Amino acid sequence: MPYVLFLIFQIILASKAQAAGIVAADSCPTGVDFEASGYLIRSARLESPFQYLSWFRAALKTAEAQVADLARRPYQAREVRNRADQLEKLNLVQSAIEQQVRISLVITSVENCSGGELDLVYSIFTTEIAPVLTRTFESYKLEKFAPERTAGIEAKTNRWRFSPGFAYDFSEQFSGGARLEYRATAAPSSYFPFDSMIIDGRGSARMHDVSAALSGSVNRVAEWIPWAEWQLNYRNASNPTDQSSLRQNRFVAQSTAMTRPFGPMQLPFRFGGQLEGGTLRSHFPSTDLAHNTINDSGYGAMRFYLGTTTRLDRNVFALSYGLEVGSTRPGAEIGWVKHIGDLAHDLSIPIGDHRSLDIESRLTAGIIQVPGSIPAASRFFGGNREEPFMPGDNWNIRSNPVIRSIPANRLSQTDTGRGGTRFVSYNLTAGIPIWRRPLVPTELSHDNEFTDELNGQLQTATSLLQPDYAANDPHFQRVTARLGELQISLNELQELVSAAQASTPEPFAQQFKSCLSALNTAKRRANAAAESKGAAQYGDVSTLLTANETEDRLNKVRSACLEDLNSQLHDGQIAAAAESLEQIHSDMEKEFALIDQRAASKQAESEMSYVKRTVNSILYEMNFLSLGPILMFDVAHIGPAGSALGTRYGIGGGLRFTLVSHLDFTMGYAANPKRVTGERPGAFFFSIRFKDLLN
Amino acid sequence: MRRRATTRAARDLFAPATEPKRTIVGIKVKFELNSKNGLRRVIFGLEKNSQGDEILWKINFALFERDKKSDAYGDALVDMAVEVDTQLNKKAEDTAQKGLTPGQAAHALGPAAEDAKASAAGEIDQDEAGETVQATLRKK
Repeated sequence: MPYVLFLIFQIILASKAQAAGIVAADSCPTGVDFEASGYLIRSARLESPFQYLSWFRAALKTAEAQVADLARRPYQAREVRNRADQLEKLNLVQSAIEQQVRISLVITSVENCSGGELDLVYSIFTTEIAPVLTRTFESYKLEKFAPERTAGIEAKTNRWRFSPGFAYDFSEQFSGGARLEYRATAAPSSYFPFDSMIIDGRGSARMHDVSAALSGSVNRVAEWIPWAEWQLNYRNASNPTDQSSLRQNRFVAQSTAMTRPFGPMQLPFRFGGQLEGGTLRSHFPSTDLAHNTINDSGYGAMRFYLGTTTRLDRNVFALSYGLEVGSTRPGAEIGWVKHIGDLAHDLSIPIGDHRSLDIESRLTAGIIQVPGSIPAASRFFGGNREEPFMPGDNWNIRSNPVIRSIPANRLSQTDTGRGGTRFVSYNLTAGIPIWRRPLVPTELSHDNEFTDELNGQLQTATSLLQPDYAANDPHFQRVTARLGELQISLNELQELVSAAQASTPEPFAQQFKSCLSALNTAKRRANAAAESKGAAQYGDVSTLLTANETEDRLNKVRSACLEDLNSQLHDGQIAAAAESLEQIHSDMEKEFALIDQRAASKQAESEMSYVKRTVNSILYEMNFLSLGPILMFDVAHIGPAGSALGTRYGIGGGLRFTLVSHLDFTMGYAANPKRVTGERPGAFFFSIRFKDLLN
Repeated sequence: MRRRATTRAARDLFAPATEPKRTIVGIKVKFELNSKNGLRRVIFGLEKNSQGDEILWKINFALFERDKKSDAYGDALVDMAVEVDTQLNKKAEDTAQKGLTPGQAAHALGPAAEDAKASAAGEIDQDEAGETVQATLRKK
């Protein structure tokens, strides 16, 4: 209890501290030269939207020494700027992995301008954006509770994290548990390729669910696979139904990977598989089970999964398919084959500042074929507890019918007994924050100049990627294929011009000098183009052609050597060599003009789109805290059964509260309007997740 | 009365989360872009500072390369900083706010980097390399 009181006190303080960062007492006039007006700096401090992370707060505190001495000194613009330069170089976030994009902002602002004094505030925003995982549906779901993960600010490794949680469900009663996690900077060796360990447990008087996992991951397995992870996972669980508990004791070896985006819609693909084995137990009366279903058995199974996911401006979705082939007699026969299809979609409709109507939909269906025998715990049991098809946080496939009006695992009655062999369920949740505080101060996110400048920088980032894609165009490859001939041709012309120079009278000295200078520079550019690759090669080749209007080196050679020099010299050999060079130049210009610049720009924009979305999300959508109602509608069918026995609805509402520094809380009630005998009229539920309490 | 309450609730729903109270006097934006093969890093940034009615802009561009991913990046091949008084140069402000074009980016990654390397190796004059680097902003 003292801890709970302490936590509540801490939450109130953190909330007020964050609020203090947003609202100030006296506004300062714009267009005033604070130095010339003789203002005195009352105080100077640092702040960041991510200061709710204790390690970041500590780093900020240390960095504050860089500006603290400005207090009680006259405002001097140059000194104020110098301190911003120093702060930018501090590198507060030092992640182990070099991400493709890193953005840092230092905003200098003044507030409380009164009595000739002002407060100076440096706001520091640093973000590292992981290109792969921020595209996923799971990342989007997580960012409301843990925006620091999306922003790449939580990359402090080599430390423990401890996150407790509590929940209530009628089947499980009050349950409590925690997740203990350790992440290392890198795997200790190639023989032990695991860099994190997770122990997750939850229990009540009626259930327990404990798992332990070792996992590792790698960036850029291949050009088309930017990310992969693997995991060893042990789970021991006993989950109640209305008649029996479903017990599982199993070990899993799993691996998943994600490709780069493909196709016109730029969709990445996810795929993976796992091997598992263990025991599945239950104690249903045999009369309540289908003839091919057994209560207790050892088992082995293989699971495969395939899917795609993406984030668009207002929509995020994930489509997944899972296949399980299991047997109670491994190596002897196939006991069952399970197919799962899962479609998740979230739509976010902005209806105000830092406020959007979020509509979450989920359609899941499954079918089990049983050519042999199947443990009861492998059949489908529905209710308001989701059963994941696979372990891990980065990809979630739901594998059972979820209906929030029925307690966990109590939607199970079919024509053939307990546990379904087919199901379909649809869940709709709509929520809107009524009370919220933005993560990033609104005076920044509403500042048009800041927005313009940030967009300008995002455009620069896109432009820097574009030449890489243009260099992959087949027409550009044809241009580079001529570089060898071009180098030879330039050499020949240079030799002829040099030879002519030695035997030509003085009046042409200036023309010779200009021609040889143009040839030298063109040769240097051609040599650089022949030796470089990708965007650099594209840039070097451009300098030879009209595409780079400030360089245009081959036209300069023609102009200096053919038009200026040889028009007076009339050297037949130089004319022929220049003609040959001009032919190569002309061919290169034609091919270069055929490069599909629009396609290259589109690819670059697609690659940067996740960065833009993430930045926009951090600036304009993420809240430090939010509180609002949710509305729910569920429908689920489990079979084999007719609609009277197998179909249920859930209609209800609830409340969701998120304080990104500390907790995520959801509670609600869903009515069960079409219930069968013995079923409850609805179900109450709540869950509370605390963030890492050790840091 | 009830209608007034409803109107106020609706107005609050669409209102900004809080009213701006601070005055921004300086913005520094810095992007670091690491190439997919891990061998090239581009750092570019923009800085804007207000002093009364005077606005000062600074545009930065730095290019780093390395031979192996396991190597640390050394000094920048290209390190360009342009200070501009926007009262004198509206085009610079447009460049700052609209970002580099693909043509400018290709110039920075290709010839600007190449000439910077050539200058460091003593193959060309420092002035010539500087001219190529500065030409990045003159390009379309």
